Amino acid sequence: MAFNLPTTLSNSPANGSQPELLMVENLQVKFFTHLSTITAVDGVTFSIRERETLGLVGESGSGKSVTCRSIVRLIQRPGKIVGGRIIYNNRDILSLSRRELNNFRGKEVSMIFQDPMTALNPVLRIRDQIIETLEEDQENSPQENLQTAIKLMKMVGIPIPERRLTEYPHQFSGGMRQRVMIATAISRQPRLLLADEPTTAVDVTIQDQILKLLLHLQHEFGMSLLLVTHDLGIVAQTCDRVAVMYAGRIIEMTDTVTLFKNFHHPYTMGLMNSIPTVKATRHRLIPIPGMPPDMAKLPDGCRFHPRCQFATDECRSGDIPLRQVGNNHFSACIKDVR
Amino acid sequence: MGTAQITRTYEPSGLIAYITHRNRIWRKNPSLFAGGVILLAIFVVILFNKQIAPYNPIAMDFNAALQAPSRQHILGTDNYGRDLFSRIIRATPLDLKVGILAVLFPLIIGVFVGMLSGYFGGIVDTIFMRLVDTFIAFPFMVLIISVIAVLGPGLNNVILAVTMVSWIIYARLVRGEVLVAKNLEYVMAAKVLGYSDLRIMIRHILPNVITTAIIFGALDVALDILLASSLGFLGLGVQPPEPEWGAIIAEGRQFMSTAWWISVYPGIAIIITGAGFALLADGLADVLRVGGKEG
Repeated sequence: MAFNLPTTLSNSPANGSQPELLMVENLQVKFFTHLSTITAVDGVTFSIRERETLGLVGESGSGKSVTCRSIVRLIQRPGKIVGGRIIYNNRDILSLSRRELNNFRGKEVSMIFQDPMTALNPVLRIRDQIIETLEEDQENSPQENLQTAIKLMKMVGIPIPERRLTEYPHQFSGGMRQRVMIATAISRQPRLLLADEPTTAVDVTIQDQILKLLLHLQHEFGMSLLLVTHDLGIVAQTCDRVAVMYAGRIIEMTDTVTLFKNFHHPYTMGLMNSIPTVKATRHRLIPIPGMPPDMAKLPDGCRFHPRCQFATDECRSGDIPLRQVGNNHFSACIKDVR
Repeated sequence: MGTAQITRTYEPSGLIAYITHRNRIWRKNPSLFAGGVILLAIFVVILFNKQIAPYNPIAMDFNAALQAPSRQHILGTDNYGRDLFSRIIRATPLDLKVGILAVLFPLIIGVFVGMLSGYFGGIVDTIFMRLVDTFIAFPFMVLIISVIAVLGPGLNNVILAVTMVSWIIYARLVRGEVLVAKNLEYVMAAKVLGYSDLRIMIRHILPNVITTAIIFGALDVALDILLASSLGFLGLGVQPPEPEWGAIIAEGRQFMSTAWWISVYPGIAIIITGAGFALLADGLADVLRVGGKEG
């Protein structure tokens, strides 16, 4: 593979030395519409350790965002979490009451969204949006909250925070808004930060800054990070471990180095082949043939088989579960493209 | 330092320059300015209506019946010899009261219902929206008239009847806006930060959806004054001899060919008031949009 791996991965070790912070077991999310019922997430199992960065990769519609939102129970009608367990620190998130859930959100787990243009309330000043989160813990005086807000703004790299706090979102650029959003998300020092495509809506130079900021804050606060993205370049830069999703299932999961050097699943291979390289050794990228399946009419057997060049009769009939193919390396393929 | 003087440009001064400067409100938002001026004038009329009206609006003087506009009666008199100008002036607070209250009450109810319905959806939404459908299935005017027929004529009943019927418009309006707003990422973000539903509704969604309702409400004031006048015309509104614009127009109808002024002048009063609110609504639409038209 002509893909340059980063010389340093982020701070935490990729092996299992840290305790597990979040465990998602056999998660099932369905969307009920008049025409059909769509299983957007079908039996997803993974875990995030303390201080670890887990990348959730997949194309549009593969269920990665839905998986991410399920963790904070942000699935809205007509969607519903119909099965599985989400265990955070020995607590079952799916059985929390409304009040417990509100205490859990923001304080334990927080989230940043894709589009900085719509993720801030246009009618509230930045100050009010940041301080509002701080007011949730009602121990601090307004003065202290203001100081914390200024500190947060500095931390996410916004110059002249005292003045910028009094402004409205429309007075900020896209990258700056994303920083403000990160500031509100980390204001209560959550232990797990969910980032749902945090850099998709900003251009590449800003993308790099935002990712560096996220990693820096992760290090500073000792947070775990779930990074949802469709960009393998970002994964290579930031993640300790990666889960690749396809059609609502995780099809390969391992540490980042193994994934890039020693991937197992043909779909992962397809993704790798479609990454452009700086060294123009190839003239064309090799796309994955075909289209992702219609989630209402999933193929039998392995969901990737209609697009897979290695598919056999076994792939077309039997369900192919995720199985261990190496040390901490799981893949849902009976073949080995290696 | 000398270079500063070179760049100095000629600035016109005096009254004309003041009026034509582009930062003046009548240049930046002429609708809001015009509407504001009209409504301010109406407000003054309401405050000082006893002082402004030269005659007792209900005192009859048959010697002066059906007089054309003259120096004594600037808008003429009606068939009972009552001064038309005084009657129109004295009717102003009444008509404005109907217009404003018949918007305020439905607005409050409608925003409340629309917010709950849009935010929670599901069974709450189904119940409220089927109720709304039931109201909509009825002709608006027929419904109001039948409500008044049950409650009996009078100003307060007009307000009550209009409230009972027109909250549905605000409810639908707000519900639609909430449906859009609740799926926006800032509302998601508020949820993820652990805010309660009440807080999200009041602090995060309401300020973003209320604008449409307020603008519609300002327009609706004009419509409600017309409606009150129509009901007055039908004899269901304010009862004689109390002056009310619609009622005055109705009284003047039979004299249209000989004494046109009786119906025309209160009509003009309705037009001015309606235009004032409509212009204000138009101007408000620009102002209330944060980061909107300006810039």
